[in-house]
Amino acid sequence: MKSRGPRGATRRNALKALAAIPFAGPLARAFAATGAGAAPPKRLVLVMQNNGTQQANFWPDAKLSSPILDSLFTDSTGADNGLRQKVTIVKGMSIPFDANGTNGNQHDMGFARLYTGEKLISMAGGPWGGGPSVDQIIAQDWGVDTLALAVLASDYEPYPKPGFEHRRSFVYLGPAQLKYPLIDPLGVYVKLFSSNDPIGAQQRLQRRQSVLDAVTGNLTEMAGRLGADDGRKLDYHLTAIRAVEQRLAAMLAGSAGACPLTPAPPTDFLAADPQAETTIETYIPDMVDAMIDLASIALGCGLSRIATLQLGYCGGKWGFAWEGINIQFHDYIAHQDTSDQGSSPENTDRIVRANRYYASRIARLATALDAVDEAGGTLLDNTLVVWGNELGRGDHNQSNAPVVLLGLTGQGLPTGGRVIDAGEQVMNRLGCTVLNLMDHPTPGFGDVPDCGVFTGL
Amino acid sequence: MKCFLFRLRQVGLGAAAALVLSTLACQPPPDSVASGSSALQAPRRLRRLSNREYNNVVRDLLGDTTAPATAFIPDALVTGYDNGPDDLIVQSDQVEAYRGAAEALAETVVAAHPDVLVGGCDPATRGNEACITAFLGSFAPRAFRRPLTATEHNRLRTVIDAFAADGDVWLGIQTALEAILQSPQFLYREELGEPIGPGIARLTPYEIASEISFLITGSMPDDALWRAVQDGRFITTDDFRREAARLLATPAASANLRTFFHEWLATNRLVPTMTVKSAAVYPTWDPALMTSMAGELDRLYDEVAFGDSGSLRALFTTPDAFVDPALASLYGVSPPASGFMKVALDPTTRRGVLSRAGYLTVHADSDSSGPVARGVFTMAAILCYRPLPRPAVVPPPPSVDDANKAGQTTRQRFSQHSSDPNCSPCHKVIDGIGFGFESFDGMGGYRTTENGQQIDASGVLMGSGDPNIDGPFDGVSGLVDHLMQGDRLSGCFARQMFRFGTGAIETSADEPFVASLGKDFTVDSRMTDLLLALVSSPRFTDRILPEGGP
Repeated sequence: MKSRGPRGATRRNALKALAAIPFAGPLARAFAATGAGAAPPKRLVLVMQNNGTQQANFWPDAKLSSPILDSLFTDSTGADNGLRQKVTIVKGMSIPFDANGTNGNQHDMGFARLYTGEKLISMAGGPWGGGPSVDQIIAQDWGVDTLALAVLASDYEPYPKPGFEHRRSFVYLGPAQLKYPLIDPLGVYVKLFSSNDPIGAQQRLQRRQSVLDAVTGNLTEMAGRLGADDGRKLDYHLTAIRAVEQRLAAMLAGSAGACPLTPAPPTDFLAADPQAETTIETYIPDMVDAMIDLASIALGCGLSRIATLQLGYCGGKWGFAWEGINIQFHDYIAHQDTSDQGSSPENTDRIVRANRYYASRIARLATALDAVDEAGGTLLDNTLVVWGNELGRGDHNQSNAPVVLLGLTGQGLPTGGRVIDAGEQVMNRLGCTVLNLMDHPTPGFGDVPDCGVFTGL
Repeated sequence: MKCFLFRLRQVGLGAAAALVLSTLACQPPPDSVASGSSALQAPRRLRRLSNREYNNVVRDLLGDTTAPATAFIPDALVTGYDNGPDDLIVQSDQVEAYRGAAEALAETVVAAHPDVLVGGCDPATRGNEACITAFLGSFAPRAFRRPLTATEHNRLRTVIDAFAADGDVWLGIQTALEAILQSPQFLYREELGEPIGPGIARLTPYEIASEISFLITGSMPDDALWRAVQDGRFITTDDFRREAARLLATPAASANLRTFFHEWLATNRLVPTMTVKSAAVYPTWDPALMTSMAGELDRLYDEVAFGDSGSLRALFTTPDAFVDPALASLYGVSPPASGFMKVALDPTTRRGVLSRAGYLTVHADSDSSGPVARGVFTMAAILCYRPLPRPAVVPPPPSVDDANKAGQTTRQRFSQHSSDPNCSPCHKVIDGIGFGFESFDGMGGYRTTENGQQIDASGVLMGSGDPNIDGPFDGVSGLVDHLMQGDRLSGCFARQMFRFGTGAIETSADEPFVASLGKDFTVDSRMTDLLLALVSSPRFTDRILPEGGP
């Protein structure tokens, strides 16, 4: 019997057929020709960071400058990258303490609730999100699939312990139903660009369409037999099939869904080390950058309109060796940050360094989008990037959880850059704000149906 | 809050601890049996094949041993058991993964051994129509694990006809196989049933056959079971028990129950992606050692589950071990030349599964023995203590480095747990158990001293709700003596079997059935008897019909 190789071999086989151009850098040039034409669609990127920020070093002064945020607004040479003009920073957002009968702590409350707005629900005691996250609500509106990406490798916690499966993702398809992120950059690349593969010839695509038709028919028939019992499983399945079918139909039509460029693949991290994506942190910076670049290209190409990026597990324990820290962050650094001013200069410095890293990665994402001309503006002007955090401060403090909105300039968010400081605002307003900015009018979000958008927006 | 509960950096809690882990603190006994419920509380449902089951099914259906689901998104297992638990669904990335696997599998099987699909039919000699009939009439029902409806049959026939161009039927069959492998009838186990009375449905013989087969072998019904259903010899509860007993004697059952034991005791985490050790603390640690440890436990679980007694007592007290050269060195016994050899360990130090290197390695921190982890797991998974919320913020304990510099033992490192009244109410219970494991370091090595001090492995079991097992003990062997008393261990095991057997966490309505399952089950009963009791119960075979019918 002909045997197929392990995953790595499959991925590499798929790559062989892909012509390549350099992966990094040419996004702006590649899309330069696509800038004209109809009004571009809106896009959305949600980013989830863990363990809070360093309060005294995060909130900016009148010039939008702070030790942490300066890394968002400057490039690697220290030059202004222009993002100050396209940012809205919301101060005062609080995440309510509400375990709702689960065994969740503040990490879980922020992680599972920030983008769902719903109360936690118990799965064998575990704290799971109580409804769809905002990206999935919008995806349903738009009838599109989302690209869920994450870098989860960790020396200290390579995989959630049993009972902590909910910490693998912040993206919820529905109550207690996670959408699990993709963690292998090369796998993401193959997923995005295999349609450029010559083996994806017309007959293959037609067969796929025929198979999907049969599968959909079988699903519908089974749903009829199942009735209301457990029907949600088939609903999720049907929704997932439609997303794949939509992409397939576009490929068959030879129009949308195919990227005008085939970038060179990212590093095959699993080939570099089979544990690269699980138990070692060596490759985290490179994997984060690869994921950011893939998300940028997917948004620019029209391969996706909604992307999510998760940087570590809920309550993550990265060591940040690449920032010269190399100490398990959650237990030995974040937990020690017991006041806004910091507990010690040494500990504060470590938190600032870690958060400057996060800020610089958001900058990488936003500047990549801002470099693409689109309809007289830039791709970033048509994209809302949300940089959220599960906590306000690392000692499980839920006040002043930082919110940074980037882009969508002139489409609900102003140019010029600003900090909104309108006192305490409930977490639900973030989801409500995102929904309204994404043309999904709603008076509230999650368990606060009338919370409204952020005051001062 | 100054105490430092749960520094569970790398503790590897197991299946049952899926229910509790982060939260387990104090120690009230589990609820007594809920009242006023019937055993008939299971809803109709679908159970998506877990990735492990998917691999098993394509092996048994197509002869494919490449385990394609290894590349799928890892399953989240709310029950802790990898056998199609309730919560598994399909997201878009999984649709694409199923498609990729289906295309590769179909291409391979058509090219390499198409007989599997058409029962040896050769289109050149018998004609396309005969081979299509064989495919749709024999193969497809095995894949769907029941006869096809007329609509399903016609749908697949349409696919075949669309691509069986130029007289070559194989591309049509290959495409139809792709459709089968992506269809819900293949990807889910149906628990829909037929009405047998007001509000009650009974699973069809085909559905019960699937449930029993997946429960015991982790895969689709074998030929004998399939024939029994087709021939009408699979109708009564006696039939179900008979087939279940037959399947228990197959190698597939050994492999499947091995998985159960690994998941129950969390030793499935003996893989580099889930368990790491500090090179500074354990310079002799080699991740490859986990292969030896898992190999030992594979053999131990097999021997215990299918040996003469097949009891919990055997699992928790046996001195027998299976060692390869690496483990022999760790245990201090004579090594075999190669492979594994059965040896008897000193029962005063290495008594039963709780004293085995693999168990002790996953139930430890990456840089220490992890008494908190060991205590929590014993409570959660082995004794089924009911969890309580943990404190909000848990400062970490002193680092291992600091403790070593101070010449402290691990017990001393956690001394604040007993001296701080904020910690002690819960930690006297958790650590009371965990300290009993202190004769073993974080990779399962036996020790009598730590940092120059004598090891103190005295412990105390308290708050179990069973005065027969509460009390002080010395070391793992002493703890095991307590576990062998009373019915806490056997009752907890029956609860774990319920979760494994039903793919669901018990609800309050299930409690009477869980209690009845454990009623006559003791630490000396044959563990697999619980499976036979389960498959012949209404909880397993019957379902509630929604009002107004399905």
